[in-house]
Amino acid sequence: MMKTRRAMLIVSMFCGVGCTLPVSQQDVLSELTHPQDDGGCVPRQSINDWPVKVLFLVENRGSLCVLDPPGSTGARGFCEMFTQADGGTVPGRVKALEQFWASHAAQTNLWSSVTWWNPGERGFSFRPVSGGLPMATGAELTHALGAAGDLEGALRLAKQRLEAEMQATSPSLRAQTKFEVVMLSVGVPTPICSSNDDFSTFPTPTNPQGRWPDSPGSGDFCNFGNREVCDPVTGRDPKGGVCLPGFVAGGDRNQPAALMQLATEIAQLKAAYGVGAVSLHSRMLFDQGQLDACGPVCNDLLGLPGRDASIFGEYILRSLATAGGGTFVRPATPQQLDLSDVDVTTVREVCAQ
Amino acid sequence: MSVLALLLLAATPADVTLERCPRVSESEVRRLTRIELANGGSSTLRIRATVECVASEAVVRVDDPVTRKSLSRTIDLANVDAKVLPRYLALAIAELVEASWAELTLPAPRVVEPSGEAPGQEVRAAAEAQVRAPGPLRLEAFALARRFPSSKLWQLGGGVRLALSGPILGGLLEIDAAHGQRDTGLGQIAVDSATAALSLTGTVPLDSSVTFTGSLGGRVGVGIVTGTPFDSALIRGGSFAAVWLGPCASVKAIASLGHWFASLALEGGLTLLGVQGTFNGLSGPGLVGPWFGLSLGIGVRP
Repeated sequence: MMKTRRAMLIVSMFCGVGCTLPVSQQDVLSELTHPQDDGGCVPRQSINDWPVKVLFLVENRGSLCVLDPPGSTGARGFCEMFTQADGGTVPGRVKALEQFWASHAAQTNLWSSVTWWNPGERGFSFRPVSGGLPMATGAELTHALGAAGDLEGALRLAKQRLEAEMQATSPSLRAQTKFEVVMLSVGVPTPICSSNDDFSTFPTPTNPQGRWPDSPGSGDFCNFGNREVCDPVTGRDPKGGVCLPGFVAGGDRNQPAALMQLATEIAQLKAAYGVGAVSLHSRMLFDQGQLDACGPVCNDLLGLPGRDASIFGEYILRSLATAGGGTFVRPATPQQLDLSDVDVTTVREVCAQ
Repeated sequence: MSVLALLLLAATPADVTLERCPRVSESEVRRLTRIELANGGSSTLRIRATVECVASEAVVRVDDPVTRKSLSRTIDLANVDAKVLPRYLALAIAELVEASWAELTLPAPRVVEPSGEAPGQEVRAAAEAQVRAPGPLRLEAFALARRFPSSKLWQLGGGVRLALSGPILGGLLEIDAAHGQRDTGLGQIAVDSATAALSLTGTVPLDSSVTFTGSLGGRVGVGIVTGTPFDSALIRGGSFAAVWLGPCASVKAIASLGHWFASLALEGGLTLLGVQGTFNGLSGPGLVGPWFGLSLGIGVRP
């Protein structure tokens, strides 16, 4: 008995991350009622007081010139070898965005932001969809492909943009606003970095749970890269080298568990800011046919063999949508991507008359 | 008259001034005084003598630079012949000077020496230091900053400390109050606390004015969490209080000047029983997890 007591004391003294200590908790701030819960409907003339804000988080890594062609990194070379089978000149993701804008041009309460990263922050903040998609968006998404598939950086960026928007909105309007994040991505995060390089078992694309080792293609970036100050806007260090904003050499990056945590945090913004609704959806950009046609030269395009990359990417995007309370869709090819299934209805039903 | 007094007299000049004595020649009195003092005229220590005649009396005053004092004596002139009056006054001045210098012949005061060997200088200095040293109690007021990293909370506050220090071990009682707050998406959450800490301390003196102490103990108190909504029409605010406690350790540097001292202390601890506010079910600021504190104090050792 005495021994047990002593052991408990020692555990208490040195209890760290691994154990839970008792905490008295109580809600000191809570929503009185939620607008969609009061049973009423939104009069049509008040619909602009019930905004819907869609943040498209569009991946822009260099390998998209193969997986969702055409595309260019700005210099003539590898990417220029790939075209669409039917000779189309607009990548599937760009076409889907243009269609979304066109089909919702009349919806005055709909706002949208398109954000992409390569790495570094690109795109534009929330603006009314009725104003049209900025002209340069499609061209930039097609002809300025970037270096990395830093999904963690992208999700952090999305969370920042959402929080900035929520903080800039009054609490009453916030409660009537619906936020949707739609991630258009290959799904395979690169580079994956691990702070712990001592592995007894390795996860695999078919058994992806657990900690992933440093991506084979990342060289020594995970342990020795990103030493310089990294500009979060340009994703470049002072010497012009590509860097990952917020990454500390030797630390973790793009570990699946961290990505899921970020998706959960995005969904929790609803409670954190008293927002009408927040959810994270994912749409996969992956053309297995293009990858197969590319042959051995594309074998290591995503740091994994093609089939494995496909399985792993789908696992990541599906898990993100689940954690973010949203939906996952994998079109057969990016050209078949359709964003009309994104729910742009208000948090409370609009009155019939 | 002693030999010393005679030698002094032989070497000392004199200035003589007469006031309201019309029957007497001042120059004659001065001349005779110098003779009486056997003036050699070589010393720079000049005696000043003043004779003031009041009715039938004279007040003789001497300012003596050798013993650095002044003397005066009143003498009766009623029965003194006018012819001998200058010499009479010269003698009176000389006697007064001699009387002044008589202290020089006194023996030096005796010191009673105890028996046995006298202690060394260091032993004596140490004993003196102990007699003059401040007591073992320290009373201190301090300002503090405390950080709970797991709930991203900073608290600022202040308090008082009472320490009892022995040669190696001692005890410490600390009472403080602190306030912190953090904005959330629904409003502001404030966390106030009032705590007391009791610790066992160990002291390592660096030199006579700087010491280091380490302490190990526990902190217990009450945490009060209050939510203030940004929009009270949409959000309900609330408040609650609960007990907070945990073990803690600290290190402190103390710089002393006499009975006063200043201190800089670093504290670390781990919450065993925490207090935390939540908002819409999400974790907010609170007294949870590990904490770190920095305090700056000033105090006195009575």
